[in-house]
Amino acid sequence: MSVTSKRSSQVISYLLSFILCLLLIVGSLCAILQATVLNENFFKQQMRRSNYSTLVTSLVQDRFVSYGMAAGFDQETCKSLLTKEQVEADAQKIVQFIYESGKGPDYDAFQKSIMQKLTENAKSRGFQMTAENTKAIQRMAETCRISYQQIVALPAPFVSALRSLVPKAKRVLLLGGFGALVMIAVAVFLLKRLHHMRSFYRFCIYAVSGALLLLAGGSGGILLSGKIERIGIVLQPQYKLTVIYLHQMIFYAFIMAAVLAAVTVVLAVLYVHRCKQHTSSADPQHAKGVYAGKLLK
Amino acid sequence: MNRNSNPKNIIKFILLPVLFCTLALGIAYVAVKPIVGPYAKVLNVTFLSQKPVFVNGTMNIYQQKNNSAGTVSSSLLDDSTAIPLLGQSVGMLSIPSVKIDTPLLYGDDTKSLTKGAGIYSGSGLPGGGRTILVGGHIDTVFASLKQAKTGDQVIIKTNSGKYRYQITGTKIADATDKSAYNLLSSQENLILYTCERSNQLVGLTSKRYFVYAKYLSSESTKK
Repeated sequence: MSVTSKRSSQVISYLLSFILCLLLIVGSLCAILQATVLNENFFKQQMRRSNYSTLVTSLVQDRFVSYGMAAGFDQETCKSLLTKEQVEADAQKIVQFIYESGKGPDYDAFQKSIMQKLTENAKSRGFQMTAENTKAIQRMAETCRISYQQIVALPAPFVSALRSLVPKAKRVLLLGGFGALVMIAVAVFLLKRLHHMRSFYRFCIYAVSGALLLLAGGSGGILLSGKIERIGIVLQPQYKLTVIYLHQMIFYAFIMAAVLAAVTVVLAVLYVHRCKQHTSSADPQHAKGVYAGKLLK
Repeated sequence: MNRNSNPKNIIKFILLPVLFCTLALGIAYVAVKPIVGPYAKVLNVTFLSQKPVFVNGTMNIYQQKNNSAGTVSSSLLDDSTAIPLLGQSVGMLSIPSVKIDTPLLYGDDTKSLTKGAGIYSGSGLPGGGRTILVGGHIDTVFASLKQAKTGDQVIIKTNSGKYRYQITGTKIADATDKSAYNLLSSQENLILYTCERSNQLVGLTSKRYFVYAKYLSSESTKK
C-alpha cells in the first residue's frame, strides 16, 4: 500500500470513527428518550417519587378550608371534599390523557359531588335551600373545582406539546434507534476492514470515548449548572415533579455514559493487549515500514 | 519505543474524543434546534436566579432579604423597597371596640387567611405611606367587623412600631369592583375587607364588606 493510499485510509478511518461517535450519541439519546419521555410508566413513577398526589391534596384541601371559612363550612367538611385517592386516580388519568389519548379527569362530576356534599351539610345544619343559598353553594363548588383543576392538572402548553410530540417521537425514535444500530454495525464493519485489530480498537476508542464525553459532560454540566432546581414553576407539586423528572432523565444519561465507559475500558484493555502482543512478536506483517505484509515505499 | 506509550498516540486518545464531542455538539445544536425550538417557545420555560422558596405550596415570587416565613423584622419594615415573604407574620391587627385581635400576615392567599388577616401583596405595609388592603374571613378573624363604627380605632402592632388608624366609613361592593379601593393613594390609609354574608346564608358570596380607615399616628418601638 502506498503512502497516499495509507493517508486516505487514515482520513476515512477518522471520518468513520467520528460517524460512529455520532451514531453512538444518537443511539444513546434514542434509548434515553424511549425509556423516559416516551414511557408512560416513567411519568407515573416520577409522580409517585415526587409525592405529587400528597402535595396536591394538601394544597387543595388548604384552599377548600379557606373557602369554607368564608362560606360557613367547617374545616372537616371542607377537607372531606377531596381525598388523596381521588387525586391519585385523576393524576393517572392526566398521564393516560397524554400517552393513550384517553379522557382526562371529569371535573364536572367533581363539581357535582362537591355541590351535593355541601348541600347535604347545609341541610343537616338547618339551612333552607333557598335560591340564594343554592347559588352561593354553587359558587363555592365552582371555586373548589377551579382550584382543584388548576393545581392537579399539568400546565396546558406542556400537556399539549407532549400530546403532539409523543406519537410522532415514538415512530421517529424507533426508526432512528434501529437505523443507528444498523449504521453502527456498518461503520464498525468498515473500520474493521480498513485496519488490523490494534488500529481498529484505537479508532473505536476515539468514537466511544467521544460519545461518552458528550453524554457525561452534557449531563454533568446541566446538573452542576443548577438550572433544573431554578426552573420557574409556581406550584410546588408541579415544581417537584419537574425537578425529579429531569433529574431522573439525567440519571438515565449517566447510566448510558457508564455503559459507554465500560465499553471504552474493554476496548482499551484489548488495545493494550494487542500492543503488547505486537511488540513481543516479531511478526513481519507488523514490522516497521511494513503495512499489510508489504514494504512501504 | 512502544507505539502504545508514544506521546503522540496518548495525546490523540485525549484530543480526538474532545474534538469528536465538540463537533457532535455543534451538529446536534444545528440539527436539534429547529425541532426543539418551537416546543421550548410553547412551554416558555423560565429560570430563576436562585432556587425558589415555597410558602403554602406556592412559589414566593417576592424573594428578598428574609428567606424564612417567620416574623418580619423591623429593619425589613423600615426599608420601603423590601417586601416580606408571603405567609410571613407582619404583626397583630386589633379593633378594640369590636374585640378583633388577630395575627396579621403578608399575603391574602387562601392559606394565610386561615391563620389570620392578610395584607394584599400588591398593597403597602404599615408605615409605608400607601394604601394597606387587609382581608380576613367572615367566619373567623373578621366575624365582628361589621359591628365596627365610624370613629373606632384600628391598631396594627409590628416589630417596628404601633400604627393607629381611625375608621372613616364602610361600603358593600362587588368582589370584582376595583373602584372600592385605591391602591395608588399617596397617603397612608387602611382598608379592611371581608365577605358580605348574612347568618341565613351559606356558601360563597360575590359581595365584599369594606371598612375604610385613615392614618392617625405611629409610635416607634425601636430603641
